[in-house]
Amino acid sequence: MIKNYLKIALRNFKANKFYTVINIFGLSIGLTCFVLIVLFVSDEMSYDTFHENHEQIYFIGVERKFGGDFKKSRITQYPLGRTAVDEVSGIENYVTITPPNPARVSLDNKDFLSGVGSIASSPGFFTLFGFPLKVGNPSVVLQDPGTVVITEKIAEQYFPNENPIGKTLFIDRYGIAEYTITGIAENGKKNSYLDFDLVFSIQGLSSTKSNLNSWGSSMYNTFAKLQNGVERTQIESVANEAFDTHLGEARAPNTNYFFVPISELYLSDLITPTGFKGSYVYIYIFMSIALFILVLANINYMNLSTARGMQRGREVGVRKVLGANKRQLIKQFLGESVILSLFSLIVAFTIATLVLPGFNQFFDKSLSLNLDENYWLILALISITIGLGALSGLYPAVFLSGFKTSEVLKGRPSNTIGGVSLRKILVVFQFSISTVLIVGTIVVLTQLDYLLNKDLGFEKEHTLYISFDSISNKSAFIDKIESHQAVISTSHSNGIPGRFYFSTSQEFDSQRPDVQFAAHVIATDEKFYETLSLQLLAGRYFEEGRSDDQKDAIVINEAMQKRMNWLSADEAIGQKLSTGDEVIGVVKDFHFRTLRTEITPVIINSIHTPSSSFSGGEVLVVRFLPDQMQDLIPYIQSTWNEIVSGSPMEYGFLDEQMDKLFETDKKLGTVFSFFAGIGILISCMGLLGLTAFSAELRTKEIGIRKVLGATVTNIVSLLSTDFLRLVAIGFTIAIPFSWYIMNKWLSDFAYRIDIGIGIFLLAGGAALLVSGLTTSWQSIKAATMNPVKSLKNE
Amino acid sequence: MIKLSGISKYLDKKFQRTFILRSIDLEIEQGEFVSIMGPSGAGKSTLLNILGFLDEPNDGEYYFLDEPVHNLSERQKSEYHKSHIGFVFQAYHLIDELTVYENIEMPLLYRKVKGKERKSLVADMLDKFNIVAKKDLFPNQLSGGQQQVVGVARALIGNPKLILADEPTGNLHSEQSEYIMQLFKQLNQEEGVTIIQVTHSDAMAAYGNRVINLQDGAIVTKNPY
Repeated sequence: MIKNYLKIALRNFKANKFYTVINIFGLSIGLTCFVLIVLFVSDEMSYDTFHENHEQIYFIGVERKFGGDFKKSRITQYPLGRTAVDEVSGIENYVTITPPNPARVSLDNKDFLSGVGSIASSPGFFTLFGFPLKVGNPSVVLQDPGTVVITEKIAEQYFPNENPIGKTLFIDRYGIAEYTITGIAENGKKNSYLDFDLVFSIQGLSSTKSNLNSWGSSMYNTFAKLQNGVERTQIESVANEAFDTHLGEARAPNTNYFFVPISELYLSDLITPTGFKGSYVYIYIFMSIALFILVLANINYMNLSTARGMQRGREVGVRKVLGANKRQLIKQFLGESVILSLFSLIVAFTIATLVLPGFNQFFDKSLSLNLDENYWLILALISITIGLGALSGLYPAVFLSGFKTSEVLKGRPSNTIGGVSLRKILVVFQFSISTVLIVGTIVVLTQLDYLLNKDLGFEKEHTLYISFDSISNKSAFIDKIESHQAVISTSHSNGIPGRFYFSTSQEFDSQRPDVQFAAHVIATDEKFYETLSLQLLAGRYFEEGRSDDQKDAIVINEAMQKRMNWLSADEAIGQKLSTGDEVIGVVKDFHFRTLRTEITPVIINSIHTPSSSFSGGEVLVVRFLPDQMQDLIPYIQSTWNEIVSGSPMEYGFLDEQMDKLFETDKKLGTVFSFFAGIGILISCMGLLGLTAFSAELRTKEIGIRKVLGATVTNIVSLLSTDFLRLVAIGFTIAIPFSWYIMNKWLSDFAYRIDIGIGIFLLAGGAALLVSGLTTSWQSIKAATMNPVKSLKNE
Repeated sequence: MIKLSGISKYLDKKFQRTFILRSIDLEIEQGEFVSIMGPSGAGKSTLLNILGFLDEPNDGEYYFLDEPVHNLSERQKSEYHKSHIGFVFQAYHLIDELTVYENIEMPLLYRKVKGKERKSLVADMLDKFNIVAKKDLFPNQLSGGQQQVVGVARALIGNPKLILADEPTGNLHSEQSEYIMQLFKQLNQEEGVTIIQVTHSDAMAAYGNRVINLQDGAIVTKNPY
């Protein structure tokens, strides 16, 4: 019997190539999107789930009051972990690490290689986490100061043909120090917060010595392992009480510690997402888009198989007469849809494998579709596909098997035309989804365009910056650079827009000691203002040679002026902050962070101020003539080699730096356009099938109408208007939904476009145009047919 | 074998009731070869559909082998379709996607006959009707008469007690028609299969041993032609 069903199904697919291609094409594309996104999502959800007993391992995060608000942070104090184990019952073990970050590594203390993923950790690292060691005893390897465990990758790189154990490496993360290799770990897992190339002992670090018992300074990550059976809710309050006794002033209600399961850390708001990674928002967005696309494809299947019911009707009648009961018929039709789905899944796997490299590059992932690696995932996908096939086949199956035998055998199509209303609803639904996707695309792209072209309040073009940290001979280098003819101006500062590292939160207004807020603090030289083309609203910028600028003089931005309740920029001049600093100038607000956030207060110090104790983040900003860039860069490079030497020069362009802030949004725009394209494509293919079918059904009517004098235009509009009306209804329904969803997305941006009527007109026009072209193609074909032919056929 | 009493079929439309069948009383014995005749719209096909459980009367009682049909469930009806009744249609109604062999085999699949037995039964049938050479052809590769032969073979493979034929020769030319009718006569006489056919043609009716004349939904004694 099953063989018989299979035969019928395959011969049917073959006999109706047009509809089969529409179905398989749509389902395959839908499933491809689904497969890729499920791959992405399951990888996102798999972070740090590989540790043995991972449900017992928690990350300790903290909320601190900062500028009047609570801010969550993953950075905690050194003694936290130790205190947790000592003073809170139920906590078994802890690990204190410095956050994973790149270090520079060298064999001989000379040629340092940067970008080596490093973690400094307390001894428990390899016993607590699930990182197996190839060589070495997990509980001993990091026992002593000055020890390091390297991965196989590093071992091969530095010690290709020798045993690295006992050898030494120079690691520069907190100053250069020599470490002895005590163990070799398997290459780090990519799906972990703890992504590393080497783990070295935290104990020898000078910062460790000074922070050993310090509850005032936070620069560590703390993990705790709870005893088996202990719930985090039992622990949290006890732990907070224990920590409070050490915190002094900073204790509750100013500070609150919380425990995050290690498997949830990656997606939690403690970690800033990089691109699409590490964010539930994108998981939701992508998952819903994938599901929508899949639904669109399945609707095509439902619509086309019920619309073609008349053709199958006779078969149903004959089978019934030969003794088939309804259940057997339903099984047969369900089988067909499942076969079609499974075939589409095979096509989808093939397409997915082909596009996976590009997908990986775009999403910055290294996913694969291997059977052995993703055994369960693939099995799940197959089951989901079977389920979906059955689901989309169910309605047609019930519909087809319910035909009245005596009627269909007579070829009377009366009730086979039934299901029209449901079909219409489904088409409306398809075009609603497509419209939402189109509106989404237009909104994202318009917003991006707005962001990228918005006046940032400073000049970002033709400006480069050179990392200026921990080097000597700064002024000699600056002099050399300035002498080049392409250079308009340079400025030495410890922050450029996009990279303001320092902020402080305090009561700036001595009149209002209870009002605390945060302000970014940077230090610049006199030429910063000129180099970046900032606008001065009142007062003056720092001036060269004025020694009074070097103490207690600050320039503030407009946001700071407003936050201080000074009515105008002019009024701010001469005023003092509670810190004693006097305002000498106010600059117009400029965007130094993503445009998602409002411009916040900024305080600018002179870089020559002796007390300005900034370290790190120093840059030399160079504004240049664009046409001479080709000469300039090699010149700067050779100057660097000549004067600075030692470390390699790192530089970048300010416009690229600013654009980087929108990289994810740009990619989202691409994703949206892509999916909107696919959505409308699938919907239109369904529409194409339906128009073709309806034209086929009405061949005789069209013939008669033509004989009676109808023009081609008459016929085309007769056949098209029905469907275009559905598209229009779908569009109307989509308006409020897409408006709501996209406003929600936009609300993330402090600076944003309004979703005007133009966007909807554009989206509606696009949907109507594409669907109009689709329907008219088939309609014109039917309308231009010779009536003699169509009438004779009947 | 068949007993109809007071069978009526009608359509209600607003204030008007249109009768298709009007209080039909009819008895047919096992082994009869009955021809139902009458002009278009007389209700012949409707009567045949009711006899074959494909349609339900609005009034009246129908006993098939002393079993009240009006009380049968959908499932029991399909059981009877499997085991007792074979259908032959004017438009043949072969499944286009299946070969001759597969078309003839299909009723056996629904009766869950084992593969080996199925093979021999189909082979017998192909042999009996002289269509062994055509077994791998699809219906659209056959002439109308050949298709109807396959249709008859399919109706007979389930070894039915009753064959219902709705204008079996309506689409065929005379030579083919005669062949099919000879086949029916042979089945009726040699194997004792009860046959009820709807026909327009006196010549075809002559193959049977009883004629029922229908006019405006009622049985009339006189040939209405």
